Amino acid sequence: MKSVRPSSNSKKTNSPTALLREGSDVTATISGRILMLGWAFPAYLSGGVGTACQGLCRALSQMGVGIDFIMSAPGDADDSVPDGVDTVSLAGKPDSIVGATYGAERSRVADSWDAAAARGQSIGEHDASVFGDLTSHPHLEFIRINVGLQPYQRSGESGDGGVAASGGASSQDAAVGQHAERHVEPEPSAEEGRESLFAEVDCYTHQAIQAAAGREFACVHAHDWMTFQAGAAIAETSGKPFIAHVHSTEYERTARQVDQRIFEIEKQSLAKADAIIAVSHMAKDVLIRRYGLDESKINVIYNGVDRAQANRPKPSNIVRDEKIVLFMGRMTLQKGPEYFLAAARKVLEVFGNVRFIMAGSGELLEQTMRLADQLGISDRVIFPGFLRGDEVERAFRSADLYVMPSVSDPFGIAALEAASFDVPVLVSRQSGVSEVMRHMLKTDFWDIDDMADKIVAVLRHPPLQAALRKHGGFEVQNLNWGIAAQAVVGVYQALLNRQSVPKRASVDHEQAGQSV
Amino acid sequence: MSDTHGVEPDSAHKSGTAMNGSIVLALHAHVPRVLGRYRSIDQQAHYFDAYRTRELCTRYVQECILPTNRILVSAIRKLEGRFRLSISISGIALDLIEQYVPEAIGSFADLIQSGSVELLGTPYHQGLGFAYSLQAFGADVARHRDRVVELFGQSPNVFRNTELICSEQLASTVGHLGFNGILCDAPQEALAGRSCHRVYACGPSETPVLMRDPETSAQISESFTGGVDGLEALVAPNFADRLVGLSAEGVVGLFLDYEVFGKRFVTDGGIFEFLRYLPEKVVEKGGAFRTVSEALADNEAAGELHLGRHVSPSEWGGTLSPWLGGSMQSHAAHQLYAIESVANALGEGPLLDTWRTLQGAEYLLAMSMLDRAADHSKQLTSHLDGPYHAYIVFMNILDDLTRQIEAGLRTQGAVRDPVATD
Repeated sequence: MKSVRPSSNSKKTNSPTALLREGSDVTATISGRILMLGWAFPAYLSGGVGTACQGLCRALSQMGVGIDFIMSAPGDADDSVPDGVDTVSLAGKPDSIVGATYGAERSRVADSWDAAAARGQSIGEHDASVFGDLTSHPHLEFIRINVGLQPYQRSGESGDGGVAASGGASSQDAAVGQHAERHVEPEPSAEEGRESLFAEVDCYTHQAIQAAAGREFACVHAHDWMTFQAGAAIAETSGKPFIAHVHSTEYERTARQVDQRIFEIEKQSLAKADAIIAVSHMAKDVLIRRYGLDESKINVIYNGVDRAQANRPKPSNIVRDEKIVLFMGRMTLQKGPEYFLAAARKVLEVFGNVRFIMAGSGELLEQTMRLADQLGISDRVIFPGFLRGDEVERAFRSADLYVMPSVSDPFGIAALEAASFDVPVLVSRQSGVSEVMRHMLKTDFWDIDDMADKIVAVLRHPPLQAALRKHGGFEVQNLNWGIAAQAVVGVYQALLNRQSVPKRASVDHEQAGQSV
Repeated sequence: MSDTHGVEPDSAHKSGTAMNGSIVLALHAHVPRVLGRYRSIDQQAHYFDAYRTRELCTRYVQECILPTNRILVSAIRKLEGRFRLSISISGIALDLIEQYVPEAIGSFADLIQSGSVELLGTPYHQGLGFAYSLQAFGADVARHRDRVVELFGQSPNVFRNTELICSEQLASTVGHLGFNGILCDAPQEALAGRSCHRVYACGPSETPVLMRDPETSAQISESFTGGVDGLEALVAPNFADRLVGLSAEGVVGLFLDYEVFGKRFVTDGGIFEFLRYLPEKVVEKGGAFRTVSEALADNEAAGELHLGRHVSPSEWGGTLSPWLGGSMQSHAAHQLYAIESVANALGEGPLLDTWRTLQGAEYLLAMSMLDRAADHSKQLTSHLDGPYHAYIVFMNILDDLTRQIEAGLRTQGAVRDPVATD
């Protein structure tokens, strides 16, 4: 497998001078590139993991760490091209892109940028929008795999708000509109969906292994379970260290209604990992207790958020006397939408002039809408559906309070996003983010009275809102991706240093190579 | 008694009329009610958490007040009046102690009746009324005076404000309330290089101010880490030597909270041993203990002290910021004093009592973002989520109290109206 790009010499040369945006003078020196395995960046499928991968890659790239990112991309339904691989360098110019051919027994795709665009697969559109500002990072190369890994979309559409790219047409006032936009697609049965999911994971694993063959890299860094099997396999054949980055586990995602097969994949792959990155101490604890993993190889690295740019338009000066409380996240058991509604009902008993926005979609969307109806508060709850891009920002900026009542959330990156927009935040203590943020209100997801009480307090007392905005917005600046990336590089370095001491079967190979 | 130090005026402790050389130990006792997790939703909880309040009060009394008072009484007896000190006990502390550990009132009475202890005036509820409503402040101070006269038969002559906060205006107000002097932390800026071991006349009212020696007091209250090493470093003869030496300048103010003994430091850390031996060692070295009033009588004002704004102890940054610096804090205090007149209009009763209790400065301190404030508030707020929740609970209570007071006034009005028209 060969790929040519204008920056190809950066593959071997380290760039030790890259500065972090936050003004830190720490420089990263990793000899060799990182092979990163992931799926679903925000435009395809939102959620914390996509946002996290994007933020982390950008920061690592800025530090001069070279990354080859093997990424799943959704296969278009009418795509005549079977599963395959595109190699796309985001260095930017069409002539820098050279298709690759693998797996002679299967189909090969050797798409150029133009070819992709021509068949309407719109690499440019996707990538330019998703990675718009990443295209200027020569250290980052993407290798796409055409499988549609959408595991959290067990039904219908999905997504946290996330830092999504501006997508399709949006209803102008999605955030504050009066009517719920019911957006539920017909879908295969749960069982069919599940089977096709495992098939897609297998497909990803198979192709990722092929894509990795022949590449040179220092270590393998895989994000979440769909890529863990590929990561473990690539690490095994290459003899390179395997870092498993756990953004969430099956145990947490499903609010304990675990799919045993996924659990086993996680458990076995994580056992093989040389290092594990957990996104909070709470998440680390789950890995130790539920997955029986060795504590000493688990590193806690918090997610970050890149602060909303200062030059964004300010919210309008239109005075509205109605308060807005925002929920933004997947409508799944994990995110606790029913607790939000239960609290909303209590709030409405004592505070009338408030509207609750529940943005996002997911398997519980319809059920949640029905619940709002049953509680008799549907006139006060808005379901705008899955928000993208500007809609996300507008929703945040219009909110008097963002509530994240997660039942079990390893981190909860949306809470950081909210804080970065200077929105007061109320999070459940069952979220990892509650460990790091002092200046957020906290509650237990099941304590509806407490949640409602704190919502009422924020709506009623402007000084509380002001203090949360000010201190939260300031505090969140210390949780940026530059700091997270530094910690990740620390994990790489520790493993690579350890590996310079002979390890496994690969030692012979390495020594032989050096002696030549 | 030999004058081993050589600088101590030898007549000081013998005649009791010397013009300088006083060591003033002033202890302060205060314990507040703990706020409950009162919600705006499902208001089943009480404003105050009786269980936690009882816990807090009982521990405070058992671990700090009783053992300290035992040592003090025995030192007074042993030194036959040469060990003298002053104490202040907040009104709310007296209420709670009487309710939960009544025998401890007797322990204070023993001290006061020894003839070697002066009782100081202090705000009943340890609030910041002086910054919002002098009327509320005056009423609170008067209530405290009545309470201690009733309990101990001694009327205070010198005033110790909440957290030792002082200003010219306050000194003058206190003078009008009948006090002969006021305690204060050494305000470095106003002192402008002058010694904190002298008495000064504060503001136009020229109220005498007796200052805490921050460094020496902090050696006990902050640096005493317990254990044998701490004991060696602080206890006689070293610390006594220092005290006696410093007192040669005039008066050394050793102002401490009772919680320094037993609560802030573990009981077996040596702090009680220190307290047990200190008076004896000081007297041995020729030091002279004085009560606050005695020290004020012995020391004429060495100059004027201008305190244009309220000053707090240096460990709090010297300002009111730890209590009122945040938007939530100033809002809460403002809202509290905004209903003072309606609370008073309702007249004596549980609602007015609740309003008075909410004046406690600790409720505002609990809303502070300062680490030191969080540290000091943790016993009051361990069941709350930090400063934000402290504010929420306070405001929930205040909102509900306001509603209740207004409802009470309406009822009274309904009752009174027919009478008025007659």
